[in-house]
Amino acid sequence: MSVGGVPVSRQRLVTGMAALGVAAIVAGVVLRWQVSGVDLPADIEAGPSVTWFLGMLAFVAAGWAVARHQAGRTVGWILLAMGVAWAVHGVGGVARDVIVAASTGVPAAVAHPAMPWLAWVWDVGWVPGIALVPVLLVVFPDGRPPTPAWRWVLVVAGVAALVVGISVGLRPGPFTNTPVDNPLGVPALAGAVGPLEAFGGGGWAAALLAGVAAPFVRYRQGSVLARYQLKWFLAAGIVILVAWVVADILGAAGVPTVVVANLRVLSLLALPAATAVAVFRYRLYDIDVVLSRGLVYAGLASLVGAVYVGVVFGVGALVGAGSGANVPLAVAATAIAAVAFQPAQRRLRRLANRAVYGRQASPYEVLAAFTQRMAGAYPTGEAPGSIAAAVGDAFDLAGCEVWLRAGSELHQAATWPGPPAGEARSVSIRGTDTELPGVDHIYLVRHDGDVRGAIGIRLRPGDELTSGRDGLLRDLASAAGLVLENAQLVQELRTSRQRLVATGDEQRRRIERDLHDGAQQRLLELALTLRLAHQQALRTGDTSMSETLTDGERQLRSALAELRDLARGIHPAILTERGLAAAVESIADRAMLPVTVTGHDVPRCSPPVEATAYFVVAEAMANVMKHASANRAEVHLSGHGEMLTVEVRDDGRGGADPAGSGLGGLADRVAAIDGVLQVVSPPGEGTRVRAVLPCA
Amino acid sequence: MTTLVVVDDDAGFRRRVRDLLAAGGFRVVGEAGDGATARDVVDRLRPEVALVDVGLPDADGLDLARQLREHLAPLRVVAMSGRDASDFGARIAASGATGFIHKADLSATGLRALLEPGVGE
Repeated sequence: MSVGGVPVSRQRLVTGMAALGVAAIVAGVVLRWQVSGVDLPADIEAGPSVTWFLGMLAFVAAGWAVARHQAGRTVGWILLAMGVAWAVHGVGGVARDVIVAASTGVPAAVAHPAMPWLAWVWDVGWVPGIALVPVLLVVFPDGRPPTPAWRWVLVVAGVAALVVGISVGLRPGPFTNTPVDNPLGVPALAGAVGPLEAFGGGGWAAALLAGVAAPFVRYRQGSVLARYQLKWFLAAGIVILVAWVVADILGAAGVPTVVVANLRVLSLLALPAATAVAVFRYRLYDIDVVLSRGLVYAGLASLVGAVYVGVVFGVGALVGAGSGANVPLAVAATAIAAVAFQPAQRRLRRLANRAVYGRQASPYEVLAAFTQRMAGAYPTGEAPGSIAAAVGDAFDLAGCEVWLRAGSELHQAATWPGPPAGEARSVSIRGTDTELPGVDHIYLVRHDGDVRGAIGIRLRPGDELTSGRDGLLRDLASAAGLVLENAQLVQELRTSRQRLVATGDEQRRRIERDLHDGAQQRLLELALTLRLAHQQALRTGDTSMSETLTDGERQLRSALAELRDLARGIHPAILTERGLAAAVESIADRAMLPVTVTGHDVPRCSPPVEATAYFVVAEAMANVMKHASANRAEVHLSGHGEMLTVEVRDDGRGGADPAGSGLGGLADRVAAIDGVLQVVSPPGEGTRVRAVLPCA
Repeated sequence: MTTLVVVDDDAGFRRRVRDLLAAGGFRVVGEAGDGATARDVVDRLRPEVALVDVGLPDADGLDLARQLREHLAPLRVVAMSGRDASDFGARIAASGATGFIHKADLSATGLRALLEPGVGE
C-alpha cells in the first residue's frame, strides 16, 4: 500500500522523525520560556531564542510534507534532518540555561551531572545540519546530483562533516560556550583537533562553494520546470544573503542582538518554504513576479533608507544637530523620499523586468530583428519556426506558435521555445472567431485579404499585453502575410513532392508485383511444361525433340532472368522483405567487380527513404560498372541520429556529370524527401556519391 | 512413394507441378490455393511433404511453413518462389523449411535432392 506513490512504512518513518523534531522544538520552547528574563553569567553562552525553535519548526514541517511526496523524498529528508538536528542542538543549549538559572552560581551549575552532556550537544549538535547545506544545494530539486561527477561534492561534504564532528566532539578540555570539560574529550587528540577542524572546515567550505555552483549548472542544462524550481531556490538564497548582510549592518549599527539574531533565523525560513514550493509546484511559475516585485521593493526600500539616513544623519552631522531627533530634517527626508518614489519605482520596475524577463526590446528593434530573420529564413522554408522564435524572443513570451493554412483549416507549423508537445494539431478557420488551443492571444495573418495562418502567443505569469505590444504584434502579423504565404506554398510543394515519390514507389511496387504474379508466373508455368515435355521426349528416345526442348528451356531461363532484373529495377522485393543493408548487399553480389559493403546495422527507415537510398546505390553502382573503369568499389551505410547516410566510392576514372540523367533524377528524388545528394568526381580520382537522408 | 501437397495460388501452375512431380515419382495427394485451405488439406491428408509458394494471397508462405511444422510434425516443408532465395535471406531457415527451390528450377530430381541429400543425384 502506498500514499502518493510512497510506501506507508516510509510515510511512518517520516512522520516519526518529524514527531521527534516537534517534540524537541516544544521542549526547547518550554525550557526557553522558563529562563526568559534571566540574566546569564558572562561565561555561559545563551541558548537559542524561541524564534530559532520556530524556524526549526518550519524546517521540520516542510521536510515532513516534502519527504512524504515521491518527487521530493531526498530533499525532504535533508530538510527534516536539518530541522531535527538543529532543534536537538538548541534543546541542549536552553536546557543548560535552565540548570544555570536554577543553580546558585556557576560552580554549582557546572557540577550538575547533566551539564557536560548538554554542553556537548550545544557545542557539537550544529555540525550535521551545517554539513547538509552543501548536500541540499547539490541534490536540489530531484534528489540527484546534476551529473554523476557531482557525487564527489557529496563525498567531500560527508568526509568534512565527519572530520569536523570528530575534532569538535572529541576535543579535550573545557567548552568555549560553557565552563565545563568535554565528557567525550580524548586527551591524546589535544594537538590534532586544531588542524583537523581547519581541514574539515576547509573541506566543507569547498563543498559549499561547489554546492553554490550546482544550481547554476543545473539551471543552464535544465528544463523549463527545473529552471523555475531553481529560481525559487535562488530567491531563497538571495533572501538569506540579504538578511544576513542587513543583520550584520544592523548589528554594527548597535541594534539589539536579539533583533539581529531573529532576522537571521527568520530569513532561513525562506529555504524550506522555497523547497516546498519547488517540489509541490504550487504557484511555481509565479516566481518571476515574486522576483521582479522583490527586486523593485528591495530597491525602493534601499533608496528610501539611503535618503533618510543621508538626510537625517549626513545633513544632521553637517549642520551640527547632534545625536538628538531633528524633526525638520526627518520631515525633509520623508518629503524627498516621497517625491523620488514614483519615478524611482517606474525605473526600478523596468530594470527588474529586464533582469527577470530578459530584454524588452523597443518596437523598432523588434521589427528590424523580425525582418532580418525573415530575410534569412526565406529560401529554406523555415519561416514558421523563424517567426515563432522572433516573436517569442522579442516579446519575451512564455510561448509562441505559428499555424499555417491548409484548405479550410489551420495546422500547427512551429512552436517556440520547444518543439510541439504531442501530435501537431489543426483547427478550423472561423474568421475572427478562430481559436487556437492553449494560447492567450491569437493574431490572424492575412495576405490579399485571405487568412494565410495565425500567430498564437502565451504570456508569462504576471505579464500583461499592453496596447503598445498588442499593436506591434498586429503589425508583425500583417508583415508576416507574404512570408507565411510563401511558407505555405513551400509546404504544399514539399508535401506534394513527397506524395509524388510515395505514389511513384507504390506504383513501382504494384508493377513489380504484377510482373511477378502475371508474366513471370506464366513463363514459370511454361518452364515446367517444357521440362515435362523434355522428360517425355527422353522417355520416348526422341533425341532431336529433346535437344530442341533443351534450347527452349535455356532461352526461357534467360528470358526469366531478364524479367527478374527488370522487376528488380522497378522495385526490389528484397528491400521490403529484408531491409536496406540486405538489398545493398544483393546489389554488391551482382556487381561485376569487387564491392565491399560496410555498416550493416543501419536502422529501418520509412519505405520512401529506404527506396531512395537503395536507388542511389543501384544507380551509382550501375554508373561504376558502365562508365568508371574501376577496379573496386565500396558502399558505406550509416545511421547518425535521425539521418541515414549512404555512400558509394570507386577507384575509377572520375569525371562523372552530377547533372547527368541518372544522377540528376536521383538528386530530385533525394531532395523530395528533404535529403541531400553529393557527387564528387574529380577526373582521375574516382567518384564518390553520397546521400544524406532524414530517416523519417 | 513420397506423398506431397502443392500449395500455390495459381491453379495452372499447380497442375503443371502436379504433372511434373507425378511423372518424377512423387504422389501428389492434394492441392491448396491459399494458406487456410493448405492448413486444412495438410491436416486432413497428412502428406510427408508440403511444397509451399512464399507469396500466398492470404498468408506469408514462410509463416505458413512454420505453423505447419509446429502443428503437423514430422511434415517437411519446401518453400518455392519466383523470387531469388536471397530476397528472403535467413527467413527461410528460420521458418523451419527443409529448403527452397526457385520455381524456374523446379523438378522431381531437384526436389528429391533437397529432401534426401546425397541420394538421387
